[in-house]
Amino acid sequence: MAFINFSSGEIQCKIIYYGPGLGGKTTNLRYIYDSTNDHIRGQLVSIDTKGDRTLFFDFLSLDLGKIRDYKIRVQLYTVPGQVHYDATRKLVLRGADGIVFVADSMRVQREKNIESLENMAINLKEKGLDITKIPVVLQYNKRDLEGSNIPILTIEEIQRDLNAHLNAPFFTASALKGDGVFETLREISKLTVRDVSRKVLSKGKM
Amino acid sequence: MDVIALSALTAANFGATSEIARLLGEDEFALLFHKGKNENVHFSKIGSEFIMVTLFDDRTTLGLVRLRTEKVVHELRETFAEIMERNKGE
Repeated sequence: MAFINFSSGEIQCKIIYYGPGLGGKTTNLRYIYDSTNDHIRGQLVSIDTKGDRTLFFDFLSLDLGKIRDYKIRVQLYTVPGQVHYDATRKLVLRGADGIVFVADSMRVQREKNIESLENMAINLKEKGLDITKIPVVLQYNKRDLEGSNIPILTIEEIQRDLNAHLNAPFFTASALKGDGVFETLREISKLTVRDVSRKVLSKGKM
Repeated sequence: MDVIALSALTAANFGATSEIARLLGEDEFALLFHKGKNENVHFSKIGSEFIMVTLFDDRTTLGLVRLRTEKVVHELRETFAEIMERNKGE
């Protein structure tokens, strides 16, 4: 649920990075954190285990500038990707305004991607959100493995698996190298802010 | 201090402890308290949507903080309920 502060002129939106375990959600946030200036970003908060697996979530807030005198701030969260942390995923998903689904391009992860997307649709529904209505951007991560000896899925295959019905904007990426990270962030921010503004405008408050 | 990060972690803290409450057969824990070497932090739930965070050091006591926050929480609960009700109507 976007938080709109009329007195300070600020809109805050919540964007969630969702996807299977070890897919690169945290790496996306780390890259964003490392590539932005202190004055537009807050702290990168991570609750993870010693093995660097996300236990609860990662969190980063970013200032995106102004729209119609309103300061736009996005709050980026990741969810733990591992299957057994579903209760935590549901908690983090609460009040989401936009979602980036980070898919793993490695062929061995094919089923995990599909499973995670289905899990996301179910969890959103439980929170009263519809996967076809909420802003969603897909990111096909680990494209830097192309040409290596690790088998990866083709874009057509991932599109067929994940995006056939959803028809969401998608980006290829290497979160580790930073390719596609900001393109993804820019698109989801644009869609989310537009969606939030539309809702506010329809209430005639802005 | 990064207030927004503190807020996100506070919400997470309540999320985690509400699961502990569930395991123990409680509905929820309405307040949480963490003691540090220099700083202490007290969290009180206000209705279902808000949490008040109070930071204090050893110049006061937990008892006094609890007494004062309880009074404020009571007042804020009514104010927030009014605001939420008004927003629903629009």
